[in-house]
Amino acid sequence: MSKFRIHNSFEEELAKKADEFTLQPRVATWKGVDRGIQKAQSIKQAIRLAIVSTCAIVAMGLVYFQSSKEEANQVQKTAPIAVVSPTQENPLKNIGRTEVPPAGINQETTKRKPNFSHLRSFPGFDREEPIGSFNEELRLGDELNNTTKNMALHAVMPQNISLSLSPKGAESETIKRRKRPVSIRHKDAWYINASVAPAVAFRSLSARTAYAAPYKSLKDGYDHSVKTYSAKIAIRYFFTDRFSLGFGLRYTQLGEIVGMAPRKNNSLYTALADEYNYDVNAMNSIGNAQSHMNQYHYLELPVTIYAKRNIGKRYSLHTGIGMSLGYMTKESSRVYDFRVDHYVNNSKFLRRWAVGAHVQLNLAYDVNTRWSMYAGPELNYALLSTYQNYYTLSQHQYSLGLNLGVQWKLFDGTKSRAFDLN
Amino acid sequence: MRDETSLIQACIKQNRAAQQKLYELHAPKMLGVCHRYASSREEAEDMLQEGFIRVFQKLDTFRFQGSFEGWLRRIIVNTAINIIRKYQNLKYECDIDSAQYTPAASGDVIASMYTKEVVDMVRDLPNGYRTVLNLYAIEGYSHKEIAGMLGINESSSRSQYTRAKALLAKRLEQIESFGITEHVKVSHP
Repeated sequence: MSKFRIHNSFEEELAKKADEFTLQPRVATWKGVDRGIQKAQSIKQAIRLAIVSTCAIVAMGLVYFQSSKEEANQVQKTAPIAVVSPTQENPLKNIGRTEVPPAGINQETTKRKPNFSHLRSFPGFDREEPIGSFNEELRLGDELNNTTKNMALHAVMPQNISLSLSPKGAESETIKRRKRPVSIRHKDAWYINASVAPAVAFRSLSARTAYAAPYKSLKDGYDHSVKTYSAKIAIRYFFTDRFSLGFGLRYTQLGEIVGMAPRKNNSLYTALADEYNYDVNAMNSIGNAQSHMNQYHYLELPVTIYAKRNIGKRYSLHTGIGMSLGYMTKESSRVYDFRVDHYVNNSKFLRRWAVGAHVQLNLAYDVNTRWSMYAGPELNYALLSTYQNYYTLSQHQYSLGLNLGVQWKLFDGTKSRAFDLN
Repeated sequence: MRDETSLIQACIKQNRAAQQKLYELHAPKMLGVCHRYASSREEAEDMLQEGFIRVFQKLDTFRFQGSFEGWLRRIIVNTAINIIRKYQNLKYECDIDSAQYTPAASGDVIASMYTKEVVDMVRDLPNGYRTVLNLYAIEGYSHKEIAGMLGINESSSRSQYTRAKALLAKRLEQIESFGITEHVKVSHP
């Protein structure tokens, strides 16, 4: 603002008079301000909650990732197979294929052939294979951690030489107590998911015509968000170890709370109600004296692509993005009809079909080989307006929720190599 | 002053009672400001409502260095301008045969008028003229600043102000000549 502009007497007098002018606002204006502040705060809180939960999930993931890495390193240090191997190479190879005792081991103790029959009690070891191929099993990949290798080695050795193969420093007890991976490979596996997501539903409003703009502004002042939820059951197919496709059925409840006031007491509106076949007693004007919760119930078919990232033995992060096709099965709403200048019961203004987009981030915990639980934030956004195209306002609904669910493995993958030593 | 500072600090901490008190303290004057920009009382209250929501959202950015009322007024005026820009056409044209006016005489007449008459006279101007007159003559913005705020040329701002002033001068001449203090609308399309 220019502070040094010289005003002449006209402007000075005008400014002076204008500054003296005051008007007492109506009580409703403060209510509108108060509601606006609360609304802004709830949006802020929702955003904060989403950021905090995302950060917490990422932080937890990093901690588990780091700790699992450290554990793996520690196992490598405390149970060095090569160091304890009498042959300096691979004890299994020598034991399985030759009868020559490894150097440093008593000739008498190795005269007996090693007995592998006890291995058959372990799932995954029940195949009739030569001992030599067990080394290949040991090289399954990164997922098969060193703990498992040590356990396998420990088991395969004849009892009378197992002591001589124990790692230095008596670390074998620590090794035995380590958790085994419960689900290693997912490719071609099928899962079933069930989840529920308590959420807060919001909506964005825009005016399609100039005359609707002031109403939009009023509605923005009077209406506010609602607490709602969605529930989903879905099938998930892993087409690679990391990526999967989910499809299923979801029930979503969206809505908003609209601010209303009693009907304008004028014969004109009674006549208009007659003309458009509205119940005059169910008409309300815009205001904040009372409120009504508009509810829209959708049945949706969501399709989601997930990317999985392992962050430890039992934890994994699942990022999902997808779309859904929905149908409004039920509604309980009051819509503003500009022709009669009131809120009315008229579902003809509502669009039945809905298309939505969603993003989610879940932290999953594998309880065992079949069951896992997951939780994380989810954002749903309606790509189509709640109202028909000819309606003067366009409304897009969105919800931010906390997705909580369980997953159960239906079928193992064809290439699954998961095994549980417990 | 100290009371106002503590009140503002309480508002920053989302104390609802303090927010209401601050609102009640400044709302009448700010509604007067909005009333000069709006074409109806309802629109003025909408401007006030939206303006105060913004004020409470941005209150933590107030540095307690200048006048709070000045800061508040700037936000309210900006909100009013945004609403006007969004929903109204500022390029009102008004045929004025003579853009001549006599400011010296007008200043004296304004001084002798009631406040409400002056405000009503300003409100009867076409939207574009009214907005520029409010911003330039009352709020003290320069034409360059007004051009930036309204998204118009600086020369447009000048010409709209000149025309607004001419319209007011015409009205004031009538008042001065005939002693009319009763509210008479300046005709415009």
